[in-house]
Amino acid sequence: MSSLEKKLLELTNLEIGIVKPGRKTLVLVNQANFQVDYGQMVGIVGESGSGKTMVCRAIIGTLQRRGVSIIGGQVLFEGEDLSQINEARWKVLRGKVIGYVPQSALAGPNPVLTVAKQLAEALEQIEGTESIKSRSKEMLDLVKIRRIDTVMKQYPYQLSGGMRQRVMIACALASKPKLLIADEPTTGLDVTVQSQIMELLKEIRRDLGTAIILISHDLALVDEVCDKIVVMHAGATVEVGTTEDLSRPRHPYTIALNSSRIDIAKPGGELITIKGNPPSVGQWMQGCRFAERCDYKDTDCSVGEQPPLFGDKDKHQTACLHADKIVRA
Amino acid sequence: MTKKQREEGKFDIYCGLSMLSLMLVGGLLVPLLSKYGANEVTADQMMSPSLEHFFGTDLLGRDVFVRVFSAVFIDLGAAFIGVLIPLSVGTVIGTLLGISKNRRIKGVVGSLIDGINAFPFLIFVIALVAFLGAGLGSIIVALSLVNWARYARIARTRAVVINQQGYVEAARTLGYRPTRILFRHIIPNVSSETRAYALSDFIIVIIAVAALSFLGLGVNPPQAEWGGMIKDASNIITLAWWASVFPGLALSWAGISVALISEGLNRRNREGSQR
Amino acid sequence: MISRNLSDESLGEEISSEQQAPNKNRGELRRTFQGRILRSCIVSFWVMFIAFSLLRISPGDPIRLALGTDATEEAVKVLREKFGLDKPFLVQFYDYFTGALSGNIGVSFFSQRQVNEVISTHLPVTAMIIILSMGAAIFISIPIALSVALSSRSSSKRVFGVSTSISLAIPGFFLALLGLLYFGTVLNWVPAAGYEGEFPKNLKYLWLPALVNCFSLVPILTRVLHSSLMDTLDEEFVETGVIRGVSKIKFYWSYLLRPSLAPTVVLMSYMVGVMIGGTVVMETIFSLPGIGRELIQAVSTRDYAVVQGIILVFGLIVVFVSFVGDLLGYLLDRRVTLS
Ligand SMILES: Nc1ncnc2c1ncn2[C@@H]1O[C@H](COP(=O)(O)OP(=O)(O)O)[C@@H](O)[C@H]1O
Ligand code: SF4
Ligand SMILES: [Mg+2]
Repeated sequence: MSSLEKKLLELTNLEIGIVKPGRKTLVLVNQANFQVDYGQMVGIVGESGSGKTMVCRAIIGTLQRRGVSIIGGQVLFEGEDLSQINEARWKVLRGKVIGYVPQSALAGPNPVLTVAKQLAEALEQIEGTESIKSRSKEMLDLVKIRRIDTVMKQYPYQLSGGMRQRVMIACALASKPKLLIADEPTTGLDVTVQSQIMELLKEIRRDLGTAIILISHDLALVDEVCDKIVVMHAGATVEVGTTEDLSRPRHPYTIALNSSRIDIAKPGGELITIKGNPPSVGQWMQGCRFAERCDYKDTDCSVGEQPPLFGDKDKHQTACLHADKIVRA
Repeated sequence: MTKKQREEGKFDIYCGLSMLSLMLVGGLLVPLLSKYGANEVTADQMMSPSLEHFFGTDLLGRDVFVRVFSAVFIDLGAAFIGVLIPLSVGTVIGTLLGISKNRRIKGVVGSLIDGINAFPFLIFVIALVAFLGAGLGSIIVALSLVNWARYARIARTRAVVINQQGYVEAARTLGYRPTRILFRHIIPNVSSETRAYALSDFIIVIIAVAALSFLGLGVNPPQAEWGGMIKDASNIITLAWWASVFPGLALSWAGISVALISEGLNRRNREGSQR
Repeated sequence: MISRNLSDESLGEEISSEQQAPNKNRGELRRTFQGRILRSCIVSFWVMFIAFSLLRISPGDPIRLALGTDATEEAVKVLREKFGLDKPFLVQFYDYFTGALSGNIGVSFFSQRQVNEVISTHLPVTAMIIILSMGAAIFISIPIALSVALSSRSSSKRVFGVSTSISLAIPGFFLALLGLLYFGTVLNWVPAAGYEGEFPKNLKYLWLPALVNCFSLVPILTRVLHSSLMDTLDEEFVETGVIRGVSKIKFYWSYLLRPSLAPTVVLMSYMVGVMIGGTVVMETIFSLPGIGRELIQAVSTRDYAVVQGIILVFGLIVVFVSFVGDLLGYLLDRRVTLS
């Protein structure tokens, strides 16, 4: 396959922000760059607030209802720029060709609808009404839910977090999407359930060939299951590469993420702890946004824009002015 | 507080305050300066509004303009006292209940409070006034007997929270007397909450006072009072709308001015808590 | 394949613990239910005690007040005995309490009517006004709250805030009077007098009082519904609704309104008390034969037995309705905790 045919999704200098007339535009994400191939499993990692969810919403087209919009760059999905398409076209893509499992497993399913109704909603635009029931059961079986008939009649509050997440994944897969986005699918679940969900995602990718974007704030988790990893910090992608590449990180932020991992390998997983806090939205400093927390910074780092990703696409890319020096050091 | 926050709701508060002051100044000056007395009967009966009688005259030929403004301090004053007493009593009782360790007292008084709050407010006040006898004094007593329980419920909840806060613990370990802790630390914090409620309660109470007079349970005639004036003129509303509409507008004016102040303060607080 | 088996095994565990979840929920439901019933009973007891005490601890002698100053000692004594007012306080309360439990809440001072008879004849009118008011208020509130919640303009929230608080500050009896003047006298849409009890006909008499009640009901309802909708809009599952591409009506109903309804239902049940107060005034103004008018009449004739009975019933109604409201809210949305 040529590289063009391989490519399912490509983000180029994506910029997301809140535009209000008469006010300064509030930029939430800029310089988001990465690609996803057909059938590939890509992890996006970064601290809470780094803009991971915003990027997901840009790909699934639900930014608008929160008053947020794409203000620059491209989101190419099978060659089509998602930042330019209208609502009618979104109706075809959203939830059909691109599936989405929203952040937080516990609050994902609609609390007032039974599992059967939620699946029916996900299926009704694809299937004939008579096949919905059997297809729903098939979907629940796919995500390995037992006692399907009982679960179908239940409301979300009657299900555990892991079960809810399985139902959400089943709904998202109902239309056999080419791309599945799972936003922090295991946050808030306990460790054994976490690994079951991860296992499930891996199998889905293997058996159905679905490309998956897996969001997490836990590098270790992503490292285990993904082919490729994208690291985000303060609204920008700072390092992109294969899992192999990222085992030899070049960006000081990834290095910090990596080393803080070792300390937290104990069960019950702590959040990543890196000195200092990421700069808040609207208060990004000049130059590299990691500078205040970086051990390698020098005067060059605090001028101009956030450094772009250096290196060829498809290869290991790093948004650090001194990546070469750091690796040698 | 940031500047932005102080700006927030300022307009509403100023609007409300100026409406209220205008009414209070009117209530002070109009009866003094006017050539008619509030209860003075003239030969001009049911005159429509004119330069002579700005709001017209009523069935007995009394000047409605003067009567509307003579009632300002009666209505606002009754409502003010009718809020102040339950506010103070309810805050103190509720606070004591919130910090009390005696479970039996807590249970009994707590359910008594719920019992009083169960009665529909206006109905309960009407019934109490019926037993106490009509009149402004009875209305205030009745309002106090009924309304303290609402303040007590708010204060109790708040006091439980405040009581566990660090500075109260600190004061306790420093060995301050319990009464000092209660009045210096706990009550001021609890009352910020009950006072906020008092403002919106004021609107309910001022309407209730007028409604009771409207139902014939309030102020004794011939004292000018908005609810009573509306009642007296409601029979002739088709002949002389002004005799009941102007007192009604005055009552609404008072309510709206307080509503604006309350809305402004709420907006300021909401804006504050978002930051 | 090994991993598959592994995951299947632990999955089995997860699912077997899962099957217990509904049972746990049922137990919790029963406990909440029992606690709430107990509390309602205690509160009802207080309601009875307060209603009872009113007559006994009023400053004047109610019988003397009722009969007027020129009543003979003899007449006062006869009536005192008839109503048991000569017995000790606690004995009186015991009699009253047991009487009330068997449905006997006293006899009118002046006529031979049982108070519960008075109430059962007049309650339907009052209930009808309250139901109509609430129904209309829901009908008006939903679109207002929805459109304000979905509007992105900050000015609409501002207008909403100010207009709801102003609307609350306008006294209902004044509005009713203006309404009667305009719709009754000018337009002739409201009958000047009389009343017909059967269902569709009574609407002719009741629509205006219900509408006036809405002026105080709608602002409160829209505010609570609006803030509850704003909370719902922040929830992740709303995102799911957008992504599944459900129809507009389904989205508004299943994804916005239904998840936001619980606080509103609980509030509605609390509002019944406020409504009863407003309805008393409406009945007096529109001369409708409801309990409210009966109450005002009893007050003016000093028929204290009737006054006492009516407030007892209203108190108990409020206790009951708020119990049902809490429970309904709880069932509608298990995320709501009983306070
Ligand atoms: N409506 C909004 N107004 C202002 N800031 C927002 C808004 N929505 C999100 N943000 C900010 O955007 C940033 C990115 O958020 P998000 O994408 O949810 O981060 P992540 O998913 O990585 O935790 C956060 O810092 C958040 O505070
Ligand atoms: S650009 Fe400079 S500040 Fe930024 S990560 Fe690299 S070395 Fe650190
Ligand atoms: Mg997120």
